[in-house]
Amino acid sequence: MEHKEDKHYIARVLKGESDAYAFLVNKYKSMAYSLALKLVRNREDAEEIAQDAFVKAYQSLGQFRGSSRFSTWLYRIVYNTSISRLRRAGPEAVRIEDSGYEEKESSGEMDAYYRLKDQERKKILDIALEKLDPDENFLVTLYYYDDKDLDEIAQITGLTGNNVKVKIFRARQKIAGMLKKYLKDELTGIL
Amino acid sequence: MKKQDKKQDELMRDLFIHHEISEPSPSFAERVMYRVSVEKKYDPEIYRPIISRTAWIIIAVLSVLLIFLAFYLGNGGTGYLDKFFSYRLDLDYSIPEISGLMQRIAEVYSSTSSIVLYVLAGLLGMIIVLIAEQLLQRRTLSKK
Repeated sequence: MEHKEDKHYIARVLKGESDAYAFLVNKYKSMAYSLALKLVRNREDAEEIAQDAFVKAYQSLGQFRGSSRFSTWLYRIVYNTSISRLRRAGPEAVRIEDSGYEEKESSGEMDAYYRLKDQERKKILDIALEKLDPDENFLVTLYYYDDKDLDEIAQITGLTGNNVKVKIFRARQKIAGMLKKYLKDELTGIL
Repeated sequence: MKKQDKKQDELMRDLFIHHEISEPSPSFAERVMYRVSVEKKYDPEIYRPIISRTAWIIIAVLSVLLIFLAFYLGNGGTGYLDKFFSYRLDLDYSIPEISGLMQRIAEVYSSTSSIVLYVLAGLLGMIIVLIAEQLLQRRTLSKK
């Protein structure tokens, strides 16, 4: 349904109705901006990248074959534009650290997690995502927030499906490790 | 998926229910649409290549056929067809005395196998067709 709706507006833009593009911009602006922000970690740069991505997508809309979702295609442009920007900024900007969170949570900690309030869960995730490597943050957001499957993420990033799977697995372990640490600290604070 | 992985996966899904993505500035869409409006509007005519995909497939099939044919015909009576038909025309000829550039071309021609020449001719033909398509496309775009 969502895919059909996008196709309808794309067809209108291709017929010369530029204003129809506003629908696509409004629909995907938050995700495009958010993904760029996860990679470049600077609001101004992310806004510029997302804008550039939308303009690039508009310019090449005639080449969009519709074999994938418009969002997949657009996020690939966002990803490539962000990576180009990071490369221009120098190797430090693309530095990827391995934080080494590989701890596994026990069932007791899981219970403690489920007792947390929504606001606390949101806070934990925000902190954990912030601590992840930019590319891992990007991948887990696509996978868990935007419900993209591994193939679509592979299309967006240009990585292999297996590579995406491994990276998401690692990111998941890191978040779980951070969650465990957070819950321990919380319990220590209470006791 | 292992039990532990499944648990972590469920945990992630639960965590992400509460996740809020960042919002761009309020004027974001406006600025994109301004940049888009500066761009040239899309021509209602949808892009169609001058040589269609089907035509390219036919050209490719014909080229392959030509190469196969060249292999079967062979060079100077050594090919499959020559062996199949037990006779062949005995044409004894000699190149007339020529000098300069023409002689060199004739030498290259006589020293190169006809299969190679067929393949080269086919490739040359395809390159010419490609260049012609590009030129026609550019001319069509510049008229718009």
